[in-house]
Amino acid sequence: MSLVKHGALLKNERLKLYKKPSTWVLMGVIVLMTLLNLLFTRIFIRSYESFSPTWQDQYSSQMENMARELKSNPDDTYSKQSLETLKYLLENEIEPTDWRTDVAIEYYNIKYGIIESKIPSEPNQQTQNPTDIEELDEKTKNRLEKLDNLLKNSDWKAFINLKIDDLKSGYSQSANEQEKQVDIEMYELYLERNIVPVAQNANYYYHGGGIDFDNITWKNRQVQSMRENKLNLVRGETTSGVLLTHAQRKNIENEIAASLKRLSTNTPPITYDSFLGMLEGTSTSLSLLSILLIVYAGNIFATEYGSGTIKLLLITPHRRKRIFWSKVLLMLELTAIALALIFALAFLISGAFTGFKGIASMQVLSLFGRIVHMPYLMYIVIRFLLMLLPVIAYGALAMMMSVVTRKSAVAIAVTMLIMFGSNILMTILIALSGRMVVPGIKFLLFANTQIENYLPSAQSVFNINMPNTVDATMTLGFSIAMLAVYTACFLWIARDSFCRRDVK
Amino acid sequence: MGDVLVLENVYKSFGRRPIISDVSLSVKEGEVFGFLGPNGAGKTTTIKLVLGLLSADRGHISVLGHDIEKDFEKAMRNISGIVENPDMYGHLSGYDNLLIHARACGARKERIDEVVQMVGMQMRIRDKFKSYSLGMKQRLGVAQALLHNPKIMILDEPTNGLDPAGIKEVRDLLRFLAETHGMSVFVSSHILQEMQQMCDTVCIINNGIIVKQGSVDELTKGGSAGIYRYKLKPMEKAVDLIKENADVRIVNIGLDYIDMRINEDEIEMFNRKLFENNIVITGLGTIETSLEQSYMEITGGGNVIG
Repeated sequence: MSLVKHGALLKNERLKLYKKPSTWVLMGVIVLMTLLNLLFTRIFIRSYESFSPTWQDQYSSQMENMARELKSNPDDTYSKQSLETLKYLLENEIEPTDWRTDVAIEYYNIKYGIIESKIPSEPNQQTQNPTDIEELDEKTKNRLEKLDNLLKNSDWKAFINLKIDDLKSGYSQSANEQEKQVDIEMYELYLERNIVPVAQNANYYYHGGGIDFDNITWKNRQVQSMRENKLNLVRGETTSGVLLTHAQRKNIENEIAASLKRLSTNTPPITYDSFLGMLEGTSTSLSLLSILLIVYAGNIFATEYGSGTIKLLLITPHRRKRIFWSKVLLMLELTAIALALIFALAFLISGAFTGFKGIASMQVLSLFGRIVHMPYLMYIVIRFLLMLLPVIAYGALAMMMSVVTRKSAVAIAVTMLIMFGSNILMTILIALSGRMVVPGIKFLLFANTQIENYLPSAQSVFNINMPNTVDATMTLGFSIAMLAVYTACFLWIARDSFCRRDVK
Repeated sequence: MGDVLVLENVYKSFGRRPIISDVSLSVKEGEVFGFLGPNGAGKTTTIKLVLGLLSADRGHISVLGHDIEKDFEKAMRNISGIVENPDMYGHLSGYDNLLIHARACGARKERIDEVVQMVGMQMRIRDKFKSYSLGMKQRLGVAQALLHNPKIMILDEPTNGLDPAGIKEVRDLLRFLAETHGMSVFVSSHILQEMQQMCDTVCIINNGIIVKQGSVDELTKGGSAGIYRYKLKPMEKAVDLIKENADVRIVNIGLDYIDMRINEDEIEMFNRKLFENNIVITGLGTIETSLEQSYMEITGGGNVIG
């Protein structure tokens, strides 16, 4: 019976809202902005790709530069070395990502005497004992021979073994025993998982563009990010030198586990320009949705007070509580419709650009401190829904303002001000969070509205995923709980005020 | 005949200022109840209290025995009303507005056509509410109030801003509802004449206090006298006769008429006396009824007739 009554009131609210032309105008604007957003990113990616020259072109043009340099300065060993390296790489068709690039670079480095980090870095020790220098010469000869063999045999396993030997023998230096162990473990993973390594110095002569590193080298990227993560754990601090909190430690451990699972299940990452990557990118349109919701939630009570129709509404045989909830339900419905529109549009447009390729791709993700293996499309839906939570919280805030102030302009303006103002404030505080954390700030609404900071994305699958929050002890679960508490408080205040206050 | 609406010692203040204090009244089934008082007397506040828009600080209000605080839904199912202006959703048609209210009150859809017919709005019912004239808005407001067949309908100054034809229409409609549907109508106004013409019972409120309550007949009979204009021939004789009579007081003497204050129940006796003294009454009119007199006294003057 009560449900029937709720249904009648909800139908009324629908009639009032959906027969307003402005509702559809605003909805149309949101949809249009989503569309433009999609088209714009797509065009941007396209133009970026089409302007980048191939690696061969890049190498050739660098060779020309070096040759010109040599003409004016014939003793320039760096140019000579580069010229020879590039020539070798081009002749043997060794792509920048090929591990042999590393070997070739090291080979010519040694040959031309520019040995950077490979020689023990304390010069005092060397000059103290002259026999070391001779020993070094012997070592160098040996080294060149080994590298030459690697290039000739093109055996990546031998390359990895050499790297491991380097670490064990101390030829390559590590900061301490623990870090050395991390590096050895990483190289062993290549052998174990049968991952052809990728040149770590790929960017030495090659400067981006045509090659899709993410796609070709994802396994390497996974191993690399595992290494970074493990090093962070060993050091007990982040890459930028901030001490790890318990939450971050847990997060890093999960990331490592996820990387391992990705390797064992052979799950390549989702790329930006794939169907799913594009679809995921449209979740930024949800901020538009919060504007829509704030406008409507700010209006929904205030206009009834403003036009005097509130009297008509309240003298019907319904408790005010029920009238209140019918309006809350309508707002949820409106949000759902707008979300569905945005999602459907993003789905179709992304599909039109990419032919829905890879729609069923699976992905390994670290969510809520657990490692899950699920279709990425499903994750995108979850991501959209989670990102809806702050939108709903702001909607509830606008609703509360609408009831309390009874003026739609005031309710909308105040809520928007809070939203945009706090966003700016939070960006600043997040930037500063490495150096200082304001105590208790994590309990504020604004500190918890950037849910996307916790969520893995097509991008973050490669990178070390460190949540960007004002307080490093915060977790996804914490923020969701805070948003729920705030939403409940806003609604409770709104309901209480609506049910108690006189209509003068 | 039972009481449809009962107010017992209702008190309401905004801040420290009391708006109405200890208002008690009851509206019987099938009567048109006039709630009379000057502007700012507390009429609209009382109506909002009855409709549950305000909550009383003290006292009880019940509709058909259902307390509006404790049993709000049951009480509201038997009452309807228009407060201040007939405000509805401007961007919706008259029909949609009625549909909204019908749904909220649980009225059947066919009932909408019935009430539209009752107020004669069939032609314009699909037009947007904001395009209606004030009279049409009032009529739609009444239609809306009729939707769920309430036992009592509350109308706050329904004739405000209407032209004479519109006022007559409203008046006829209210009498029709009370007489043929047995519905009680609680109507507020600051204009006495209107009240006298359409109400069975009148209640006068001033400064938030009920000063007089009773049937129109009762109020007219008891208490102070009304003022009547007699056109008499011959005048001199008539003036002498009136001066002898203690029950009659001359208010004003004109060229061929005398305005005098006289109790209503003595008019018959007085007229007979004139006849016995061979004074001819060529014309007789009411300048001010006894109700007007009390109203004037209560509200401290002002032009009640206008």
